[in-house]
Amino acid sequence: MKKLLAILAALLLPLTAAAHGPSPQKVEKEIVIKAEPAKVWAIVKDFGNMQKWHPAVASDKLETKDDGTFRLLTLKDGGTILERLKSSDDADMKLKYEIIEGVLPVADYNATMTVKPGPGAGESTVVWMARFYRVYKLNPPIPPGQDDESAIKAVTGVFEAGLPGLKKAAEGN
Amino acid sequence: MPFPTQLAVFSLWLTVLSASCQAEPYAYITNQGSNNVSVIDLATDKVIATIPVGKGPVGVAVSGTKRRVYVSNVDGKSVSVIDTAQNRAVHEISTEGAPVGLVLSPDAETLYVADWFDDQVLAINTADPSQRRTIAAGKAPAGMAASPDGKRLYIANRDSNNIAVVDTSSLQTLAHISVGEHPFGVALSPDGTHLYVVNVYANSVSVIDTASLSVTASIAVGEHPYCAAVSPDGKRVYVTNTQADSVAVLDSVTNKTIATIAVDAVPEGIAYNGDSHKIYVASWGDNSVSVIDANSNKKLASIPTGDKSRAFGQFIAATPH
Repeated sequence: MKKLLAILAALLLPLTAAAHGPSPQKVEKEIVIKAEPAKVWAIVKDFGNMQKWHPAVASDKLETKDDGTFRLLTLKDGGTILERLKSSDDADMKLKYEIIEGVLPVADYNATMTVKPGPGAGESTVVWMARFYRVYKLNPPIPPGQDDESAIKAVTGVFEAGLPGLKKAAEGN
Repeated sequence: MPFPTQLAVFSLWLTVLSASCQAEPYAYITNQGSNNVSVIDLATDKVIATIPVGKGPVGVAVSGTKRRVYVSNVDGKSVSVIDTAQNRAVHEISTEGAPVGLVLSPDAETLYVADWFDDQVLAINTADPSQRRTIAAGKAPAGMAASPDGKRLYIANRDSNNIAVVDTSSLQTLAHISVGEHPFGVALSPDGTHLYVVNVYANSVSVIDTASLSVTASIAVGEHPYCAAVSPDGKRVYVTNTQADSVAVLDSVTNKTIATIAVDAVPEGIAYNGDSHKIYVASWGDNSVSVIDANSNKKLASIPTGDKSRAFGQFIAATPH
């Protein structure tokens, strides 16, 4: 009986283990845009109009509440992402925001978009960096689609689609 | 002591001092993404070596006297032991779970390793790492500090929101002190009288008076703070605000933030070099170390290191070569 209880206890252990396993992940991408930094920054900081430059975003609904400024992104593929604006610095041309909830397989996601002048005259470099954890925060075994690799792949997809879109929006018209 | 003897003793002291003057301060920065440690010569603020270690290094503890740097490999379930004379890893200590926080006893004979998977702290004999004892900790033990006399170990139990005070001889827990939400890094004033606990979710630092084992102040800092370092005179405490890309400077008498210093992205581990009054901050986001001048409270430079630099622990020491 004791042995059976011990075996049962061992089987139950992963389910009761506390959530402290994952390590923070980073995705960082950048793009050079043939447009003045001020023009690029104006597009980036426009928190309520992400659909103007990100090809995966169908619509962007801006909401200002007591606890902050939020945008609800509806994706063309379906699903939504709710983000909160953390800071928007005109001097540094830096936008910081975090995901409150949404379809991306990530947890504790916060990101920074920075517009820098150069390398050439009339050019800008946009750096987009995110820090996040995988969705499954308990210790392994990790359910498929909720691991580090899935999180990194999803965020990389967002950045790799978005930056060329931003370039097109800033350089075009 | 008669004068000729005084002179002889003084000469001998000078000789010994000059012979040991190869002990220069170095910073050992763990790069979790590139699985290595960047060694920075603090006389020049340049990386002079990059040492491969285990998988996912985060925590660090340095002993100048023993010429050893210990690094916790979170994903590799081990602690790498670096020989500072050779600047290479000479041993890998196996552990279970996920070793993250590290601290050495003041005599460097014991290495405390916090395993936050298994909610325990290992007390490992540094001369013979197979000799180890276990301290039952709270939930997710993270940062730790050892009292100057070596008799006490302070452990931040991240998911229990408290500090455990452990007697290092008996390994019994003497007290639990409630702090703010999600305590991660801790720093002890050099005289051991105050423990500064960084509460990540509360954006605050709890100040513990170690004589009474009680919280005497709570200081508001910046967003999502992780780690702290205390100046050698105990008057200033520096805290990394990971989501504000800044360092908060606290006055330990008034217990208030008196300055905020812009640094490289996502600052985490922080340490004070008493020789030069410069402060070094690992930047997880920019893969670098920010150098701050403590006299002017300004960032002087960025030193490129490896991927996802963290340097969680006391990472500066004068190590003989």
